[in-house]
Amino acid sequence: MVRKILIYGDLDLNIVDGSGIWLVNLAKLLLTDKENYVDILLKKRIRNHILVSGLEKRYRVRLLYVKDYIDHITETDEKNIVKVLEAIDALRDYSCMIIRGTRVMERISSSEITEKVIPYLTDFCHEKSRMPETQKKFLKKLYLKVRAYFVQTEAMKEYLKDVLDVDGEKFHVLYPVVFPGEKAEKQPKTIVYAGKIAKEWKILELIDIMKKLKREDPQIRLHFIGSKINRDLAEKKQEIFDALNSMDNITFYGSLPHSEAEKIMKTCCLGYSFRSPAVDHDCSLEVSVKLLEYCRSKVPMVLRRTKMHEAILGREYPLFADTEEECVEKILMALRDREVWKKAEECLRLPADRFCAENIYASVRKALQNYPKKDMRLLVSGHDLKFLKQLFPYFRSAFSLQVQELDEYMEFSEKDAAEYIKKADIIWCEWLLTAAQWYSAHAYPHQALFIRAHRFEVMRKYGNNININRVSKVITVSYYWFEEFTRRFRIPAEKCAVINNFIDVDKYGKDKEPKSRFHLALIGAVPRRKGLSRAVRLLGLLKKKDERYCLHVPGKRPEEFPNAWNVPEERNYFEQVYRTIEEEGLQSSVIFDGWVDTPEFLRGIGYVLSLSDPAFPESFHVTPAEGMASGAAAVFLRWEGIEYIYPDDMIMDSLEEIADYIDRLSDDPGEYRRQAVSGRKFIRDNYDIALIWDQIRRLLEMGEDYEEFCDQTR
Amino acid sequence: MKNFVIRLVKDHPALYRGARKVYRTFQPAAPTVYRNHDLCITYMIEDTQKMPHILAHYNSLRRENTRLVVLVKGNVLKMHALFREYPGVIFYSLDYYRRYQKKMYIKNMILTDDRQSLQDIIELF
Repeated sequence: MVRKILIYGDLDLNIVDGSGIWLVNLAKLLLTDKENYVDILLKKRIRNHILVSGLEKRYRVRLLYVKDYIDHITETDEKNIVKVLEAIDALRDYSCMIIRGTRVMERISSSEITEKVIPYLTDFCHEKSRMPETQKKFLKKLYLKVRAYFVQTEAMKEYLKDVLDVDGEKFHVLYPVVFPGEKAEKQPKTIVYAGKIAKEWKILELIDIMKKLKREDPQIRLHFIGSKINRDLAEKKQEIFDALNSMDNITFYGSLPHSEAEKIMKTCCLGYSFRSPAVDHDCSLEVSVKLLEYCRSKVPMVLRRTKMHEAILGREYPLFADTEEECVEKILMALRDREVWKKAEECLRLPADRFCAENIYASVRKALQNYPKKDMRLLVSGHDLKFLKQLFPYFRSAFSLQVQELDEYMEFSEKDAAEYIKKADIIWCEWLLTAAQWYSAHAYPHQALFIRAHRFEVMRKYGNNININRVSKVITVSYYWFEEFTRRFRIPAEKCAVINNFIDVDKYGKDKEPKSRFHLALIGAVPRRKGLSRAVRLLGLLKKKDERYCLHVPGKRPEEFPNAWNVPEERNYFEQVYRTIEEEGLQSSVIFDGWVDTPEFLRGIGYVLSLSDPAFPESFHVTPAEGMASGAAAVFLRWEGIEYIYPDDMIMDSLEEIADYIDRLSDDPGEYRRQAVSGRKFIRDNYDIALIWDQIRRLLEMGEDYEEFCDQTR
Repeated sequence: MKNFVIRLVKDHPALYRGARKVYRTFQPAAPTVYRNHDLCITYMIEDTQKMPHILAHYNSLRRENTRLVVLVKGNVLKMHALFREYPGVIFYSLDYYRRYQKKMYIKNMILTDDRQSLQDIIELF
């Protein structure tokens, strides 16, 4: 069971600003819990990847663009939000939805979706006496309707408790999340500003401050990151950019990815966070993300003294300033006097710990516990599921499983698939054929799509027709086929995974019958590339050494496979094999066993053969591995890619070499036993079902996400 | 013209679908091309025991736009175990290219080893 969480922020993630960073960091915070799967509903299609590039590679985060769900809507806004959320929720079945923005929340509050919603609102009147009655009514109604409610600070919680006259138990404090990065060496006499260019953020004053500082100390340098101009400074845009570009004590970077900005910030000695009293005042209920980032990066900042700032940094913090002049004074003091800077830096330690991700998530978890966990729904689609069915009990233990099994791959029903796709979180297409092609074209962004390719598909066209953007991974069963599929269909390597076929080793390994050492088996002799003719020739060679050898061919006879028998080349081949058996007098030594219970059958078998045509290599060839698991010896005629799957000492280049090898082992029971034991151990260590299931489960739950792997090993 | 029609029909789902169908008959949508400009930080190993060193080195320089690629010399039978043990890492077997005479294509590759100074590599980004 997992938590499927949707976040909608009613903000454009193409623009790098505090709100965008808040949303991205909230998603990252939720990812710290392995049970959370996060979908971010976008307001607009992503064209600028600066902010979200870190999330795009993550498996447990999905960016949902509304047009992929409702074709005629290209932008999410307050008018269509209810319709959009209902449409997506019907497909994904969320545990909860974290919604930011009063305008959208007003619309949502009158719909049924409200019971899944955790509102996060900051854009309401922050003065009790001036709060309109309608707003108060709306906030109270919302509080009563929802199960949990995020507020940004303790101060905001107390304020809302008072204004709304509620017990406040549903309020959970969600401070802006800031993640620690690596330490960096400080460059002397450097100041950093990262953020928007807005009047209340005192950017014009910052430029003046830099002019004054140039006179005092020309070595002091400002690193300015950001290019978003607020409307209130739109008229002065050119003037500001000219100043930022022309002043020789300012390095102007423009917009940068958040991680890059953070790196620059860490190398600076001081931060500039001096905002107007209209924003920073004693009644402030919000805390600036940038302030917390400076704390985490150990960059003391110059800022206005307010109750909130005092509560965070302490009354003794030495870099509070109330005017521009005081700002200049404090900057010079901090950069010239090491003791002052040290004291300021020490004041950052406590808030850095207090606002660490673990502490913030503890509060978030409490809120999330009010919402039910949901099943992860896995859909398996494909024909001939023989390589997968053994895994179904394992699938059922971790996921809610539904199966769309086809009789033939050409009989894929789009109508059925259109129904199945509505109820799936993860889609597994067995074979890279019709189902894979359809699901890759129709999978929704919140769905993960895995396609398992074997060998047969490499000569079909479907690999060229899949929409690789929607595919999470194409799974190949061995390294050789990983190379073949990536090369032939130009599938990017990062979209591929290698997961071997598996053997339930515990099902085999019963005691061998005493005479088994003279019994060879070719399990699965159709089509002709499986090498029945070569097996008969091998038997002929062995008969010359010892009359006791015989060859078992379990399963249907070639004439019982219409697909093979009706192909003239195949039929001629098998008729020729029958003639050879007669001519060589091997009728009594070649036994067509019909259907067998494989583990029981293998008790009587000493050698399992893999004699496939080297020109048509196997993808894995499971049956020799089954033989090895049963304690039989396996022998292989070399085919391309086999060296990645089976040990070299079992692989030979000619039938004569195989005959000598088998005869040598049959003559030496001790050596035979050693081979059998080491073969069984090899299969258990590499292809046992428990081992492969672990890998598959990790893939389905975490998508081979390198970040997740690092988190696990950390 | 196109924008005008969109403005006209966008609030009516049925009209929008119809208009789109007509438009798409003479202007099929171009397929979305898969793009990945990640830098492949590439190491070469012969001894698979060295993987922890490589991970440590890579983790100290990795960025949002980098991927870890490891070229494995020999060790053909260990390839699958490496894929299993190190999810998210791309492994290539050098023996494959030699034996089957294939060419290796790795886009945006930065070949390095775990002794190279990080600063030298980071400067390339």
